[in-house]
Amino acid sequence: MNASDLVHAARRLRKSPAFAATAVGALALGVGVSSAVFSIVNGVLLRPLPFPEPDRLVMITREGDVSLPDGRDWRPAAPAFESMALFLRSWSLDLTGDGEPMRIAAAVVEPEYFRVLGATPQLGRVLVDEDDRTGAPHVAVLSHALWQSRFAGDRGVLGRSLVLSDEPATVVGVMGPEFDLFGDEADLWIAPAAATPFFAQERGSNNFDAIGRLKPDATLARAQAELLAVSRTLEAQYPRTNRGKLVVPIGLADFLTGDVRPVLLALLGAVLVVIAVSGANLASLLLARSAARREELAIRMALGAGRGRLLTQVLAEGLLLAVLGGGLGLFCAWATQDALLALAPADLPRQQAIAIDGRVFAFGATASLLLGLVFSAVPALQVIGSDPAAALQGAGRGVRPVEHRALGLVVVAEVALAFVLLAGGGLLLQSFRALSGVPLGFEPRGTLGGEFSLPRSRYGEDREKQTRTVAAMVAEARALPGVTDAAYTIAAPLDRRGGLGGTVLFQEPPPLRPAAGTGARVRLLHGDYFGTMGMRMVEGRAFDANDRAGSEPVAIVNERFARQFWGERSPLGARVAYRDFHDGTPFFMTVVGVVADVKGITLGAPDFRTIYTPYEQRRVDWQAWGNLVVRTAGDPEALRRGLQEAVWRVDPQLPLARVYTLADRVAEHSARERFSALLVLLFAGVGLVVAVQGVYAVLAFLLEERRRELGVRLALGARALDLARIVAGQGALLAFAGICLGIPLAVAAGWATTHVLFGVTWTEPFAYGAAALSLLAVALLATAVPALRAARLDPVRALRSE
Amino acid sequence: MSEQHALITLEGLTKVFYTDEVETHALSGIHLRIEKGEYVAISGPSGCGKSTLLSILGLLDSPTAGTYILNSNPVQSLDLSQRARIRNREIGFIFQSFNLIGDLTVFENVELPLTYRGMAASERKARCGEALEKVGMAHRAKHLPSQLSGGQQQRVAVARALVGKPSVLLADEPTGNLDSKNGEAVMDLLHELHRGGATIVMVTHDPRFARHADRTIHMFDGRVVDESEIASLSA
Ligand SMILES: Nc1ncnc2c1ncn2[C@@H]1O[C@H](COP(=O)(O)OP(=O)(O)O)[C@@H](O)[C@H]1O
Ligand SMILES: [Mg+2]
Repeated sequence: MNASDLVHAARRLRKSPAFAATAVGALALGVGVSSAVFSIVNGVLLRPLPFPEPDRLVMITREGDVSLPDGRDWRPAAPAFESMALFLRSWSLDLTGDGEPMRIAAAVVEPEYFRVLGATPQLGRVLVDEDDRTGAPHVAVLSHALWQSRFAGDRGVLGRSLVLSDEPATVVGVMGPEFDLFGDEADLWIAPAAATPFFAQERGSNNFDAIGRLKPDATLARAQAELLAVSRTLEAQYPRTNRGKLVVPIGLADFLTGDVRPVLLALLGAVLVVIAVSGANLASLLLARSAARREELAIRMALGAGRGRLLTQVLAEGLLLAVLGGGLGLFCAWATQDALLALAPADLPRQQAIAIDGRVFAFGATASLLLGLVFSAVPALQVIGSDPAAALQGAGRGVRPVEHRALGLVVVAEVALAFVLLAGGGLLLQSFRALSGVPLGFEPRGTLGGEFSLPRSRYGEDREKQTRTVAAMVAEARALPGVTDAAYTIAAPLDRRGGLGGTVLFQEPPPLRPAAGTGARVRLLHGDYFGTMGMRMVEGRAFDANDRAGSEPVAIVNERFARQFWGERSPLGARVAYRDFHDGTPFFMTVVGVVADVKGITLGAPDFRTIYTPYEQRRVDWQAWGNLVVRTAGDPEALRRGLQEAVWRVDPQLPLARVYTLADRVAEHSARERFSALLVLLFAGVGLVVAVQGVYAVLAFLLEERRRELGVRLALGARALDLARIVAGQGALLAFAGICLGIPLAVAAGWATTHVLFGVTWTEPFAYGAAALSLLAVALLATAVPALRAARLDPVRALRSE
Repeated sequence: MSEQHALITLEGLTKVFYTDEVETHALSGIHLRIEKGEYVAISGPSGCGKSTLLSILGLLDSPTAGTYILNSNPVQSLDLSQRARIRNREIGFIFQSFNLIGDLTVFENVELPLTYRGMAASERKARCGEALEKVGMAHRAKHLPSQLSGGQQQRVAVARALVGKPSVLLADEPTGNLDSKNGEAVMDLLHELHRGGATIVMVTHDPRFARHADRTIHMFDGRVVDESEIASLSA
């Protein structure tokens, strides 16, 4: 093949722009979608972890995690490991002094952590063993992100002193941007000895994970055996804390992606289907075209053109299509990558590794070349492979009926597939909409919240000071311009922690005893929380200014609590207490109100049974964290800064962490449903386009093949409409057959995936009806062009082609 | 014969094809009258415009200029659907390559013009039987064209052309794809139809077949010429 072949091919394509556009479109679609999805599979499953010899990295897991002393006993007992480190993924600290106070996420890691991962710093040094000695000066290694945002990438940051929750620490190093094993976005790394004494040498204080690097010759099985032995030893030695605690090593890659692997492999399967189907379509388009070109090829052969020469010509065209279509597809995949990832649920692992890298590019390029070359060669080979006389004779007669039928079947299958995807996407979309539309019990619009934690170093166990500070912050927040209401709560709605968990005591046994015991969440409040959240009082009253520290203890229960213990009766006046959360003697609170349930934890599940009590009336001194929430008539986003400043007016050292709007929180909670609906609809869109192309190609092919017959019919007095009807009838038949085949498949698929649907059942007729209608509509569209062309057929020309 | 018996009158009929900036004058000012019941042969060298003339006579194509009067009606500038109607009722086509539709049986092929006319099934059946009888193919009504010989296929094509009782049969080299024996048979059939009153316009360059016709029109380079002129033109 040389340049002139390509020029020639380009000229031929330019002569039939409709064909060229459709073929390039078919390729671009197939390559684009499959590359986009492949980039996810590649990033999550295939790309090696960004550490040297990642295959030797092993997560050492134990149910309920591990304490520092236990983990440190593993090390000498497991010689299969070259190195091993304990680490705590995220520990919140307040970073103060030297700029605005902010709440940061520190990873607390043994210095060996860096050795295990083989990680080197971008600047300065990583942690060393000396940093983890008791009494050693505290040091910290910064993340690239924190270094950039807080220190503007200043290289002079080394040696600077930070204040971390009131403890000084010196910056000794900065890591590169890639260093984020779990996607935790840790801001800095400190040694256990530099963290608060909370992680003291206590067995049973199980806060740590462990990671190890196997020796080059060690196997996972050997590590497993060694760890099992040490588990048994520890169990015998410390039965109170270590009973039944078995240690299991899992390869790091498996650990990270084990959950999503089957889903991603299924996606990869779907991608292969997309490729195969785009290939089939390209082939049918080319077949339609080659029916017209067959004669030309046959004549060239009769004139003595070598087969190699002809094949080269055809391949040049295929190559051109592959480059154009593949290039366009890869470009679209690259251009839409960020948008796609932005919609990915937060729990998709290794998202930071998803990109159009060399491997994705190679995948896309290979797919396009394969599609372009193979499928352009196949129809041509039929002519080229036969002897010239037969080819010339067969040229006018078109294609054998077998090919015809095969082509029809492919298109029917395509339509069926598109139907299944559309119906499935419709069900998921409805499921997502149902989830988005569930009554929340609160009004997310206009609300903004932020989390804080009063540090022990300054607030200690001074309950009165804590209460004063919380009240002052609420008052400052309420005074912000645009804010109509403000409150404190230990847990705002849709917080997976949902408050403190505890057991309830009743002074008088309530009329009902739910089977699930007497557990309930406790949510402490200050200010008009129900008003701020837009929650409805069902009965009784809300808290007010008279519910103070010394006054009569009161409680408000949620509806679920009331119904489960009192049924239709009123709980007002009943007296309840916590078994825990007091200074020794349980105290009884009078129920003064019932408030409507909210979506407390997730959108799909009902809230816990809950008792709300005034923050002022708590009887513990350690409860000094929670959320400051406000309601505004305007845009809550505009209040982010103001809310933080309100806090600083009370305590200039206190950062607000994770400022959120409840509207965002609601959206996050349906992100998974949204993403799966999106993915399936994406595939459905592809399926739809593919079906349209398929129907179009078959009809174009049919038109090409039956041109002469249609000419004869015209000569016999058929009207333009009669011809259009023949073509359109074929299109309708294909679509109808595809939908008929698709319905049982889609119903089966809906039934099989019923557990992921929310608020919609697999029998939902809307999804199927919409799928059928949209397919019929697009089939009609695909039919229009060939039918119009049939109607405009010039009988003289059609009959001349003898 | 009087003016009112003229089935076809062409005056100054011209056809120009424009392709790739080249003008081809396929027909240049044809004057022609064909009476009802006449059997006319058109002959001339390849490319002289015979097929083009036949396409225009059959209303498959329209002239660039000139008038065409068929059955006393000017038809040179009708719209598509009117032309389809006239084609269906007044014209019967016989092609060189038979052009039977492969998916349809012999009977269905013959029935097609009547179907397009919207005729009732029972009447269609009777008419088709009659037409097939006429060409001696009634016993093959249920066959597919591929199961017939070339001569048989052309006889079916003739049946299809005459089943609608058209005013004129147009045949473009109907024996071109047949051996001489089968060619003769088809010619005999046309002759017989003519004797039964059919008007036939047939393109042929075989003088043996032209003999069957009442008269032969000679064409050269898009024009009708005298037989005597031919000699001098081709000299
Ligand atoms: N559709 C067309 N486009 C361009 N030229 C045409 C077309 N049809 C016929 N011609 C030209 O018109 C002339 C007459 O053609 P035709 O009527 O087929 O001749 P004949 O049937 O006598 O061999 C030829 O020169 C032919 O090339
Ligand atoms: Mg001709």
